[in-house]
Amino acid sequence: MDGKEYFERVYRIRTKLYKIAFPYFNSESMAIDMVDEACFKGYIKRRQLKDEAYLETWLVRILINLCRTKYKKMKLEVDISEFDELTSASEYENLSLHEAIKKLPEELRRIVVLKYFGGYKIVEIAEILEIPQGTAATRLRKALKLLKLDLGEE
Amino acid sequence: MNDRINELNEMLLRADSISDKYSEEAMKKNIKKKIRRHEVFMSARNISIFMLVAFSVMFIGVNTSKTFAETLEGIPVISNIAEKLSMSKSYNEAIENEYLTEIGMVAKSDIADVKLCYAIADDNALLLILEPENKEEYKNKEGYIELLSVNGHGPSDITCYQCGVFGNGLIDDNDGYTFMQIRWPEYKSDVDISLKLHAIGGETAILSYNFSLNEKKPPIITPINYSLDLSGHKICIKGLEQYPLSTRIRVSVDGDAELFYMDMTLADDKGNKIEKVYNSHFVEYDGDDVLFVFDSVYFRECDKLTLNIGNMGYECSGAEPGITLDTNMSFDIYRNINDGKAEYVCSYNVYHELSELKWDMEFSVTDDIIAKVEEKLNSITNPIANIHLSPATYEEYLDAKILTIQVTSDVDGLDVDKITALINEYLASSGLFDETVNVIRGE
Repeated sequence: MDGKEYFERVYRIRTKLYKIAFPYFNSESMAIDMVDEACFKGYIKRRQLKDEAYLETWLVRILINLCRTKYKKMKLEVDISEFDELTSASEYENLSLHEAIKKLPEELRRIVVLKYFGGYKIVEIAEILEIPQGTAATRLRKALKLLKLDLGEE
Repeated sequence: MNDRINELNEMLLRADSISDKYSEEAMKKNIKKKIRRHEVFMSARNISIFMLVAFSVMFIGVNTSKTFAETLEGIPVISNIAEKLSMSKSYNEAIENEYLTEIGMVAKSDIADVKLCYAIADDNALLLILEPENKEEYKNKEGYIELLSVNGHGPSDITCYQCGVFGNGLIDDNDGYTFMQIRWPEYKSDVDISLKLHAIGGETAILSYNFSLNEKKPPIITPINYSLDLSGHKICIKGLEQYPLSTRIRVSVDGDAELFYMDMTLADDKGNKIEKVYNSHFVEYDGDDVLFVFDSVYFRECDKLTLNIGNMGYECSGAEPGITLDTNMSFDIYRNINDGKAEYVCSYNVYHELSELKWDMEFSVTDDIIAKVEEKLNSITNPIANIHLSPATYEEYLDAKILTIQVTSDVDGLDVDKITALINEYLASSGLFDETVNVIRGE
């Protein structure tokens, strides 16, 4: 894929990328920075992409990893292995939705972000995150339960 | 539950409303800027590799020159760091010109021993380059570093920007280097700095360093002092300041007006645009002055810098906000070498406009021709210079046979002789005043 084609394709999905980055920081400028950085990294490493049909999936993966890294710098992230669902549930009740999303372990947060801000279906989320569909669905249920959100799943 | 759904809808709405600054053009510009920097770093690395190979091949020959050998010895290490440093092109140029202080000081802690490798500083900024002392031991761990104090100043009066996760930098690809850019209130050659290392998991440790910087290079200040009177508010383009790590345009606004936008570009003599630091709307403040910060050109030998101000926006208390003014001014700043020292002198585009004037206005003998010419000249030179022609009427001129041109200006560096010479040329081209024009430079 040459540079011109890469940029044309990236421009078409930039809004979707921005919407995925936005809930991580609840900040327009941070989200823009993350998307620009992801698109730059994608450009530099575009020859490593074996199937060009997966450009969007690949860029979303880069973006999520960048957001996570930035996230780690800004706050201490909850590791899912140390996460106790029962004791944690009460901690989410009095938080705003943004704060509650921030508090989620990354493995749960990225599912919520991709589903509601990226607009992806569970099958697509599983593909982006390279996890089984069942795992993606379970994590989404867990996250929604913690966030007290009942939006109806697929 | 409804509250949660409302909150989600609100967040989705905010995520949907991307402002104008995330236009296709803005995105393209930002990414291309990153790509250009990357290409510069790659070139620097390739050159370093080439030089290293050349050095190996020619070892016996060049080793007789101690200075050359020492220079080559340092380049691969420094350029390796420069390659990872993507905050500003200015830092790379400083490193390429060996404007840095090698520190090599290690602060020990329970989390990690952290080496302060290099420091780069000028009057405005201090850059620290840090890495774990034992990279292998710290592999697969990450953390971040917080600034606690620099020479007694805390985070409330200094700002700090960290680039690169402390550790192996899984995504950032910084090769373990952490860059901390500190905008400090004043330069001090002796630096006492205190940092806090945070490990993922909650542990923290204090890191302290005390070191002296190599000699600082002085700034090159070029006064411009171009003022605009906007509804009683004076906005003054005070000057261009060149530092080793940045170029700054100093602007002052008097009264209760507040400048909130100024669309300016800076280019070198080859037409290469000098990028603004960080992003397109970055400014700093120094008292009542606003400083627009660009990449440094300190180490480039360009003979001319051109500053263009397309438009500006300001607001005043009690007035409608968001007054935008199309200015389209440009200033040429020339580099002169006197006794081996570079000095810069500002010139103005008014010269160019005056030299074009002869094609713009037709002369005919009427009694008010002198007043008309004076008005036309002032429309070009105002507000940087005022022109007065006497006598006031053509009839009086025919009696006196002498036309006096008086040019006055408060602008520093404005070449009044050049302006009067152009006016002379212009009037001579009319065929009405030749051989009778007398120029007096006014105060």
